[in-house]
Amino acid sequence: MSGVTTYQSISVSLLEDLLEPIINEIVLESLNNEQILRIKYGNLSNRWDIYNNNTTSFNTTENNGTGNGSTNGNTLAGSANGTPGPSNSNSSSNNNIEYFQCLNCDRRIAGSRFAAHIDKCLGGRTRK
Amino acid sequence: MTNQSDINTLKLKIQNELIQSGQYDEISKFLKFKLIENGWFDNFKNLASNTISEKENPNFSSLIRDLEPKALEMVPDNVKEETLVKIRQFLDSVIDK
Repeated sequence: MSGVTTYQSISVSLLEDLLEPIINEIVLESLNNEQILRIKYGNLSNRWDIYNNNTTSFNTTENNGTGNGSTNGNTLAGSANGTPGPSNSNSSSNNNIEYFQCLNCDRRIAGSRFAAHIDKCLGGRTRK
Repeated sequence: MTNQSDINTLKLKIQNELIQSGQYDEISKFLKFKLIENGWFDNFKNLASNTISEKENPNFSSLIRDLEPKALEMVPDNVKEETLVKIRQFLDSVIDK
């Protein structure tokens, strides 16, 4: 009977109408979150690089005192070893201009000298 | 025999009645609650986030085009049924007029 099918199809159609704004909201919110993350940290592969590099540098500074964090200090706002200024990867050519605050001794060190400083600041490499 | 334009007019009237009576809001809240309770909300949210983060230039309309059918598919049958029951209850109440 066409009456029953119409009834059925209208019900299903209304169900989809109800679901649509819920779905839209989730997609929109996820899209916004991704845009924000990209503005701050770049796209997904970039974020994984940052995550991996920060994890290893955090471990090495804890264990041997070698400063790996400085290579990443320019790409992420808030690396494990110091608080950098603007997190702009284009500034790697201006190493002498950006200053970083060493969290160990609270001194301000120029970017290009940061690795050497951290090396000494955290006790240097093991002497044998 | 009911043709498509008759059905569309009918549906429009039903939609108006649904909104005016406040039933749209009520059934909508019920549906959303069920979806959260069932885990669909989190599942779809994860799917959306993962899909979006892997795209070079994510675009809302193309995302919706790809994700909406999956979202509908992911809705558990019991949630669909329970919501359809409510919709049918509403339809029964208006159609008798």
